[in-house]
Amino acid sequence: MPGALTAVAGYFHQHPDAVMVHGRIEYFGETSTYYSQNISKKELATRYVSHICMPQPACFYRKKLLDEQGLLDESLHFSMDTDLFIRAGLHYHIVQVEDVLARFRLHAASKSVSSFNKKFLQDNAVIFSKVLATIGAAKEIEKMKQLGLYTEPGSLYNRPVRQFNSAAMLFIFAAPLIYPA
Amino acid sequence: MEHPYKITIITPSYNQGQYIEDTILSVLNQVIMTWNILLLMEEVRIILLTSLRNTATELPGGYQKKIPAKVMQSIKVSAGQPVILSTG
Repeated sequence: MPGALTAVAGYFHQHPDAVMVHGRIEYFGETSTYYSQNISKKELATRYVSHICMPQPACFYRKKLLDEQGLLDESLHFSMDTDLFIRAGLHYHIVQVEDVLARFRLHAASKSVSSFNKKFLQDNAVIFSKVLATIGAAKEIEKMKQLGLYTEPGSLYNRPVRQFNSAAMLFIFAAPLIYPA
Repeated sequence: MEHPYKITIITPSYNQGQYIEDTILSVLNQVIMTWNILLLMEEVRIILLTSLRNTATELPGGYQKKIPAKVMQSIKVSAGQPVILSTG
């Protein structure tokens, strides 16, 4: 998207404490074009550590995120971006902007278009299980087990200094599964 | 005045060689001056054998040769998107 990198650099300059800036995206394909909508900033901090709540191509992050929290988890074929962005949400300030920062081509061979939601769900359940284990959310881990969604993590994320509302996190993660649209 | 930020765009491509030049141009046309574009490509041998035109093994437009410090390419065979992004 023309001017996107300048805009992103400007936002990072305005927010020196932010590790990530994310905006909106233009989806385009053979038949239609539409734009993503940002979600309400209310509860964003909780959403950042519960699921991916922004379009990945419109996310820009400082190298500091990789240096301090590690590279992508290569065992995750579908949700490796969610895993990385959740690490950002656990530890850093993230800035949401209204700018359209990227275009995303929709085509039949695209992973986002062609893959089953079930495969994303499997990855996401692994990631969210790891988040709950990292912050020691025993009640929510038990509820995840009852839902058949908990996977015992082989490792944990770096423990965050901040506190999170784990009940709200579970609701954000599980509600779409229990009450699908 | 040089912009204080260095930006790297890492772009995985999997059998979508026809769109690579558009992707490179979208970065080249940005105003900011201190970017890099690192194009990481994943090849699948069977695609190379059966449908070579769908798998770009050389960057279109000669950008890699014209501005090698800014446009880089890395080819990973059947590595998967997380692996090639981490390589970047």
